Amino acid sequence: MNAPKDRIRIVLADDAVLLREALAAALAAEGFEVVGQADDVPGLLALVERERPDLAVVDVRMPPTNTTEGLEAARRIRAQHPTIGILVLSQYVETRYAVDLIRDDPAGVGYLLKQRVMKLDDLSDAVRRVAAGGSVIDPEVVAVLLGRRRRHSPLDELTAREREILGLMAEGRSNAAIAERLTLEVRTVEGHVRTIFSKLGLEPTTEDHRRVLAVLAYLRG
Amino acid sequence: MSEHAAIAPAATVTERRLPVGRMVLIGGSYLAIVIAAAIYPFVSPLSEVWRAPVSAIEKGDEAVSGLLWLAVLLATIARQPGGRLGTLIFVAGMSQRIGALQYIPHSFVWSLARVIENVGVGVFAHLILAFPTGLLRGRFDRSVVGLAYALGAAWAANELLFVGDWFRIGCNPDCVQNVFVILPDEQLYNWFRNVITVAFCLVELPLLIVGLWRHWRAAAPAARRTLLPLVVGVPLWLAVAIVEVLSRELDFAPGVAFFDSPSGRAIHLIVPLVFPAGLLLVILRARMSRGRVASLVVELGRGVPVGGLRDVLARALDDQSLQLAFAAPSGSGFVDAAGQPTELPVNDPSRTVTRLERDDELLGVLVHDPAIDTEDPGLVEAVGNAARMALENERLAAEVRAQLEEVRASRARIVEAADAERRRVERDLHDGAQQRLVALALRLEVAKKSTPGASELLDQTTDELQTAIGEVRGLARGVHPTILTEAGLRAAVEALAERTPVAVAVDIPERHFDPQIEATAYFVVAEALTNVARYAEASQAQVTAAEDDGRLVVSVVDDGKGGADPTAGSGLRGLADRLAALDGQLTVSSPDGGGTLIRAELPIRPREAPLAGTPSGSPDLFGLARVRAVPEVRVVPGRPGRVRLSSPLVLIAIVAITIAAVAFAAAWPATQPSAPFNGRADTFMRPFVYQVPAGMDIRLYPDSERLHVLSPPGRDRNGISIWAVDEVLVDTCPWKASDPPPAVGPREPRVEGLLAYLNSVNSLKVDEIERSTIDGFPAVRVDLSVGGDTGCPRDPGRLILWRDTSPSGEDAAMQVFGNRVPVILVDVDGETIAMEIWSGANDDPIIFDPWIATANRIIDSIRFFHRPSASPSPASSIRNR
Repeated sequence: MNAPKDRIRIVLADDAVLLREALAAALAAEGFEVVGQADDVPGLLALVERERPDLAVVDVRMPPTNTTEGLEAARRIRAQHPTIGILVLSQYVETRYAVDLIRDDPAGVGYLLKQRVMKLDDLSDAVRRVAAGGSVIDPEVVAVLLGRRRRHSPLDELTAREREILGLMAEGRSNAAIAERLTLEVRTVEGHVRTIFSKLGLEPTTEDHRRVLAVLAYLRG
Repeated sequence: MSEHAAIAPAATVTERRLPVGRMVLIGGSYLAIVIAAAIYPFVSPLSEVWRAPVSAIEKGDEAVSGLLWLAVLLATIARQPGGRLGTLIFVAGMSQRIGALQYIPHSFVWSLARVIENVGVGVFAHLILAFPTGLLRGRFDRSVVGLAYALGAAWAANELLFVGDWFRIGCNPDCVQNVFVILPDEQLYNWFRNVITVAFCLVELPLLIVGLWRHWRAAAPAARRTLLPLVVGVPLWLAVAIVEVLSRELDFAPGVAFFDSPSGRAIHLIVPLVFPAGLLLVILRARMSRGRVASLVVELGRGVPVGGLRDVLARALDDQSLQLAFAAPSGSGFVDAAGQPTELPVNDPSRTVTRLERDDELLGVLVHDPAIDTEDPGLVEAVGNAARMALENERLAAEVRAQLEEVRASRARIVEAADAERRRVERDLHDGAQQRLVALALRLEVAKKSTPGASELLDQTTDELQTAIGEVRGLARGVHPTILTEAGLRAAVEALAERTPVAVAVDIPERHFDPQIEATAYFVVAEALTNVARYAEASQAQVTAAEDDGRLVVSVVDDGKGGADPTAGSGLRGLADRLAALDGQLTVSSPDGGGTLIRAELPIRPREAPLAGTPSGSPDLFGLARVRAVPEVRVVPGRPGRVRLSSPLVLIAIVAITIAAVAFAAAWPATQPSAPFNGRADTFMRPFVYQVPAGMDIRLYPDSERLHVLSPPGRDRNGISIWAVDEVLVDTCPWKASDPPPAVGPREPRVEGLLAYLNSVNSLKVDEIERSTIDGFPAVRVDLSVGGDTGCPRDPGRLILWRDTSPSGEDAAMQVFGNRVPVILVDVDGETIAMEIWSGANDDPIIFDPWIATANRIIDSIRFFHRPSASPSPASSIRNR
């Protein structure tokens, strides 16, 4: 990937120093500007106030209780600075966290598993998309959501291709991105999306965030 | 003392020995006063004087009441030597008895008796609200008793300060006086008396009844039994007292009439006896409770099921709230018969803790209603003795159960410790190895990008690392799911369901349970869902968790092939053990072809696992001693122990005060020399001989029903100027109204003037006049009758007037007529005219009202006719006051 003209400014928050440092190094190597690091929520909030970054990368689990402080911090940052993107990193494939996080407003929010950040390309892709106001959901989380078995699920009626496209939609990708990834025509993808929406009984929409929201709500439901 | 019932016979004797010497001393001094108050009037040389105002029945009542209180006192002291209740009963009874001493015509005794009787009112209120423990509980009770003492003290102060000469009675030969008087003021005295009496009747006594009712409402059955005589007797007594006192104080005619009638008198006399009689009944009935000990022995002989001893003892003690506890085998704390740890009440005045010991060995502890000890202090001990063997058995059984309980608790602790360890391992994996591995992988990625040449090897390494990270993560989740701690059971089970390749419906309340409970439920679901995925061949499953009667019921049901064997795999077996350790239960129902139901049930609040104490040979004596001492510490905060009636110091003080009082009484002149009498016609009923000194006006106004007695300004013995006016109700017979006032006429010889007056009175008819001499002095005898034609009862009588020249006219009257005859001595111009009135109808010296009226008329007439000149009538000045 090429570094953009305006470097994306990032703050990092994670109480695990080793990982945080490694992450900072990786992000810098990818051409991003890491403007600050914090190991707890107050530090993160202060850093955000001071630096006004484009993006905050936040670990879910931070002191003092080591439970979901990161999610709380993410909500507060979004409430105060809606333009700052939030990328939440988690150890766990807990779909509830992901859905909780982006339920209200998926724009500029991402939820990635920590193992994903080891794929540098995936990481920098997610960083860019979230910083640009898009949504990112970890594919593994989406897979769990899609894989959940339910009685008489309309998902059963989807074709394999349609399921694949639904997963990518849930991850927050646009039709064009889906077409590129699956090496399909954008028109074809659009056709699949229409079919999916009608099979699942969802309102068709072209706006990415709302599309993600609808898909997630459906999958979660 | 009573809380500590030692079974050892030796200890019993020392504990319970009656303080005979003290009882004799206390009872004797009490009895002396009872006898003095009750018997004195009968043996007194002045018995003639007293017989009239205080009837034999009343004296007898006084004696019965005194002896009843004595019996209550002795019984209480015998049951509770040194108890507060005994002290209160002693003081209450004493104050009443001393009050009765006011009938003895001795100035000091009379004065002291009146004061103490009034203070005693507070003691009675105190006794009523402190029964049966002798202690006041709560602010309300203390306020009511405090008010009673305050009113009693005000009453006493009123008696002390303001009672002057007008109250002097029994002037035969001399007058009893208030020795404490400071400001004799009858008006002030009466005003205060009215205020205090009304406050007492309308505020204090109703509050007392309310207080008693509150006690009754709050009382346990055993305590109610004790309170019954009070609850019945005291309100009755107080209600009668309120009605009578208010009737008299406020001149409520029907009330006064009732209480003057024979039945009213009977009620007045009998109702106050209900209180001491009830107390005596309670104390005597305690004897009967020993009968229950006998039936206890019979019942124990038939055999008591293990764990059933408490019920048997509760019946014997008639206390359903009874708690039976034993020292815990661990050496600290207590357990019940089921071996469960139990708390003994601390600082609870409504519970008494009694240790049952034998040879310093603690057999058991009884927690019971304190009323049992009050009612019959020896009962708990007697029951303990009778049940000794059974107690021993029960104690051993409880010990075994407690040990079982301890084992169960330790199992629970092991589970808990294992869970904690798992959480710690999970945290370590997450914070340590996992982070480190991820960081490593990241750096590798960066390195891989910057060194394109080594790409293949690095790719391989990165893949290995990814796998390692995935394994560590799976390991951590299996050890303990973080989401369980973070988001609770429902979220964790939902996460499980999401990973299960079978459709799983989850129905679990969104709340946190105890971590141990949560973890157990989670592992049950995890194990069950694993089985569903692996063996059941099910198409769907359902997980539900619900609270049911303090237990969490988790069930996992699938529509698979069934036939699961819970004993086969180690997974379910381990879960069953884990559940059992938490007092829970696991049931598996898996018929062939009928699906599988796994149901776990466990208490939501795990029982407090008692910490294993260091075992020691003897029970926690220090802790118990604290429990025992509690009531005293609580009741007398900041005071050095309670004062016991039987303590030598108090006895010495009582004896010293008694000696001092007797000495003072002996040194004080019994009566004051005769002093001018202010004149009260209605007090004819008591002393029969009056002196009407010169310079005093007595006026009867025909249009009035009252006799006005006016004494001139003078000085009392303390040199304080007094001007006393009294109004006395005389008679309402209509003849009076038609009588003309004594006419103001020329000065006439006194006898002629009197006769002229007598003849002018319509209601008097002079039948015969005889002039003669008495002891050589001129005298006149007039036979006359009152009533006449007025419709009033006719009553022929005789009036004898003579000139008395003896130093004290009274003596002459006594010589001539003994003391059977009412004599009025009128001091006129330096000489004494004696006047005797016979009421012919009754042939009895008791004067009935028309004669009193007549006597007053005659006095009036004599005065009038001997006045040097007619002065302005004092009527106006009297009326205007």
